[in-house]
Amino acid sequence: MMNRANRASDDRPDDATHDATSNAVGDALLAYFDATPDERDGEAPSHDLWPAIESRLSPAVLPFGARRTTRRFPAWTSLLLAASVLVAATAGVTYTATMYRARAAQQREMASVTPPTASVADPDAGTMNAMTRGGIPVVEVANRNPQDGSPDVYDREIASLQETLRDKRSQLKPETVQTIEDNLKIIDDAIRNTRAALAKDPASKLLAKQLERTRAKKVALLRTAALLPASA
Amino acid sequence: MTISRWIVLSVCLVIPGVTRAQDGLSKIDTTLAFEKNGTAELVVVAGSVRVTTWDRSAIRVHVTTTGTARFDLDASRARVTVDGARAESGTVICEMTVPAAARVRVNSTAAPVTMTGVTGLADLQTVTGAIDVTGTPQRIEIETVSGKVRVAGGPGDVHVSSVSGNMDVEAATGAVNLESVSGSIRVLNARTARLNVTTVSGAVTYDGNLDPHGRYDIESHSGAVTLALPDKTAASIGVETFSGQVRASHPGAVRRAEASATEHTSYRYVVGGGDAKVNVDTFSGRVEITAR
Repeated sequence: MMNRANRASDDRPDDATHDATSNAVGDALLAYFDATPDERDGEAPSHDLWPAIESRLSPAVLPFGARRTTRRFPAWTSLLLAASVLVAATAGVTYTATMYRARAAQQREMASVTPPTASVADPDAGTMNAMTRGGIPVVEVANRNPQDGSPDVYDREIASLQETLRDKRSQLKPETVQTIEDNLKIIDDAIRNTRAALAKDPASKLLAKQLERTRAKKVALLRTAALLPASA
Repeated sequence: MTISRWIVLSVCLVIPGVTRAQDGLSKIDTTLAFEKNGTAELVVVAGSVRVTTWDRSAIRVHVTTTGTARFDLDASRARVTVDGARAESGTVICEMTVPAAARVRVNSTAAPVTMTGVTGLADLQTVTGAIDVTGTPQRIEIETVSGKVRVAGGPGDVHVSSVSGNMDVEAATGAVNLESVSGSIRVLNARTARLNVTTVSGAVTYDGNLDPHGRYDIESHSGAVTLALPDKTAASIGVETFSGQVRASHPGAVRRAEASATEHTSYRYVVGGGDAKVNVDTFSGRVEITAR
């Protein structure tokens, strides 16, 4: 280590020579930096390197409005798919909303069904107040659910359908009207008998079920009759 | 996309096929290309309707009329409609041959309807016209006021509703749902596992096997109910009635006490192992459990 230090010290030029050399190098460097690239023969780069450097430093920006020239599917296919999805979504929403409304209506109806008891009045004897709502005859029946005061759903439906049937009666054949009336009488007799039995045994679940079913049957029959084609 | 393309696309979405329409016809006998599961519709006031099947993707429409009756024909590959609803007098006699898997819809006032061999869906309605179905529709819906109904055979579901029309359902193996006010209801040679019957005064007869996992519900007000069961039946039969008589002549029927019900309205019979569940409710209708 010591030998290398001594040898380096021995190789050093004297001070005068060193000063002259330093001055010459300094002048040359100053001249180089003052010169334009064109004045430095052969020193200028063959092309401008900055854009490439800049592109590596800056985030890439796609040109606005660039369009893909190749597509996997034609544009109308995408639109058709989008339309199908839209239609399916709309139908789904509509279906869900409709079912929700239907369920809600059903629940309301179920909630307003009068529990069959002996005190329920004969719907045919109810005071009816016919109205028209949206072109459809709506009949309010005076019979009320004794629990919450709401109109009995069967009575309301039966009264409404009977009103419709009365209007339609003249369009039907006499034998069809006779068949309907005969079967309505069978149902009314069944309702009357069940009510009488229920009066004696108000707690009977069997009779309560029978009454409800028979009244539902009357609604179904009136609905069938109301929907019969003219001249049937 | 141009506007014209939108229009073409909309038309294609709305109208699945080109439709041909002919109005005011008095007769026709033609065969048209038709999808195997296409829909054949017939609307007839008086006359007759006969639907048969073949193994072709085509439909044969053979319609004749009498008197002043006329009909309209709309036809596409997916749907053919013969509409004789405007025929105020005279009759429309309609014969259709459709692919077996086709859907058939008939709306008749007084014309009897006969359908054979359809395996698709069937929806038949009459006022007084009788309905006779033979074959194996996937599902059949029948509604009539006073027409007599007969449905013979099939694994499909059967739903029949009548006011006073009598109905016979034979050899059914699918779910059976029958409703009537005063029409008699007979389920014969049945092998169904699901039965639901409601009536007011019509008599009900169930004559057939009971599936060990099956469920059978019969409700009647005054109509008599008869269960004719094989000797080796295994069923638990619950009967509830207000004033109807109950008689069990089936050799295997053993009456069990019902703890939760009053003696005069509730009965429980166990036949064999008691696997199938049968429930019969009546107000005054007689109930009989007998051997086939």
